[in-house]
Parts: sequence; structure tokens; C-alpha cells
Amino acid sequence: MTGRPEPADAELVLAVVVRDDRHAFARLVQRHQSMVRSVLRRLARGDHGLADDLAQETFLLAWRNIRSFRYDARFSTWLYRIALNAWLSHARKRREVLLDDPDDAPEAPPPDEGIPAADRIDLERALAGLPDGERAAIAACYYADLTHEEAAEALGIPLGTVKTHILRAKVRLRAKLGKEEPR
Amino acid sequence: MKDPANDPLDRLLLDDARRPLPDDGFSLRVALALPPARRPSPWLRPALVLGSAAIGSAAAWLLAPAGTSLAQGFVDLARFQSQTPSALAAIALALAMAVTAAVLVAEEN
Repeated sequence: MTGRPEPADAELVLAVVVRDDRHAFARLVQRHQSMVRSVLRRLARGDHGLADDLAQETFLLAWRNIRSFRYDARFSTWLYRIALNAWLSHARKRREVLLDDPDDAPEAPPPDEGIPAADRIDLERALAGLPDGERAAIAACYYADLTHEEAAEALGIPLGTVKTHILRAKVRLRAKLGKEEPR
Repeated sequence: MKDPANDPLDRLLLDDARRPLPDDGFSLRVALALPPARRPSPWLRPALVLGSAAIGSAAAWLLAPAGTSLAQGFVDLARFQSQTPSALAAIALALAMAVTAAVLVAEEN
């Protein structure tokens, strides 16, 4: 027995735009909720409640603005940008967020060889301790699966800054988690 | 970065990123938070169709030649006289009512 193939994101978006199809939108939410919530958990320093609130806001904004989606882009990238803006908007209400200053945090501590292998809680804690720009770069490139170029465009910072953020973040994470750099 | 084979940190980050988060009712909460569907008032279209038909009929009655009457038209049709002004008016009215009914039935379905 062969089931009907899963419709592509673009087909579901079209169904929402043309027919106001809520089932199609629900499929999109189910398909992308994990990525959006994971990214926001990283951006929100592991605050799952805040991340889920922002994720819900992200999907509501996506529903409202779905006509502005351009079909030549990935739907996940478009969603990531909305999620990032939701987080930035929330964070700016509280304090200034610096995404483009590579020197916005103290130098990384030296690696501690004695730390045991990290589990996920350690990783979450270590990621939460990164400066905003570095955390945003890691969230974009690993959790939203963007290239460095896409991340630079989405974050509105130079490509070199994204690369610097990633490198510095990895130095800090290695130091905290005891992961040795590959030779 | 995307080839984590040699880098334990890359592997750890990618494993964490690829770990699917359980939905835990999130999708349902989003669905419930969506604004209600905007449906046009159920009476609007029938009112427009019926109103247009009524205005058209009134205009046809006002502009019809003197002596034209629907009753006379149906009498003429019963006598197989379909070319008189009254008979033509009766035919036009019947057609207008049929079209109106068809539109309303289509809207209902």
C-alpha cells in the first residue's frame, strides 16, 4: 500500500494563501515546531517557557504574513527570521542585544581538561553562558541549519563576524565542556 | 562545520540540533490561538442577488410598453402566443427567478 506523498512546504503555503487552509498550516507547524523551538531555546538561554511563547508568536506572525513568503526561499529559513525577530524584539524590551560586536564578552577561559564528557544539560548550560552574538550565530548555523552566508544575512551582520562568533563560541564551549579541538 | 566526523563538539551540537522536540500539544495551542476565519455574513450574498433581481424586475416593469402586464403575459403564453410584450415580460421574469434560485442554491452548497 502506498500512501500519498507528503506535500512540500511550498504546496502547503499555497493552500494557506489560496484557501485559508488551516489544516495545511497545522502541517507546517507540526513540521517546523521542533526547529523553531530549539532555536528559540538557545536564544532564550534555555528558558523553555519563554522560548515556547516566542515560538507561538512566531507561528502566529507567520500565519498573518504568509502572503509575503517568497517561494524561492526555504520556508524554514523564513520562519527562522521571524523567530529571530521575535526574540530580538523581546530582548530589546529588556536590554540592548549586541549581535555584531565580537568583543562584547570577556575572553574565553582556558580549557579545563578535567571536565567529563558533556551531556545535553551541560551543553544547554554552556550555550546559555555564551554572549548574545555568539549564541545567535550558533543557533543559526547549527539549530536552524543555515550556512554562514545565510546566517550573516539573517542576523544583519558581516560574514566575517559570523565566522568569528562561531569560532569564539566553540572555543568557549570546548573550554566549558572539555571537548578537544580536532587535529 | 557540517562534517562533524572529526570534531566531538560539532557532533554534540549537531546531535542536539537534530534531536526532534516532542510536540507536547504545541501545535494545538498554535491552532487555537489563530484568529477566527473571516467568513462573509451569510445573508450578504443572497441579499445582493435578490436585491439585484428585484431592481432589474422593477426597471423592466417601468420601462415596459404601456398595457404590459404579467397576468396578461401568462394568459398569452397559455394561448401559445409567446411574441407579445406581456408574454416576453413573463418569460423574462421566469428566467430571472430561475437564475436567482440557481445562484442561491449554488451558494448554499
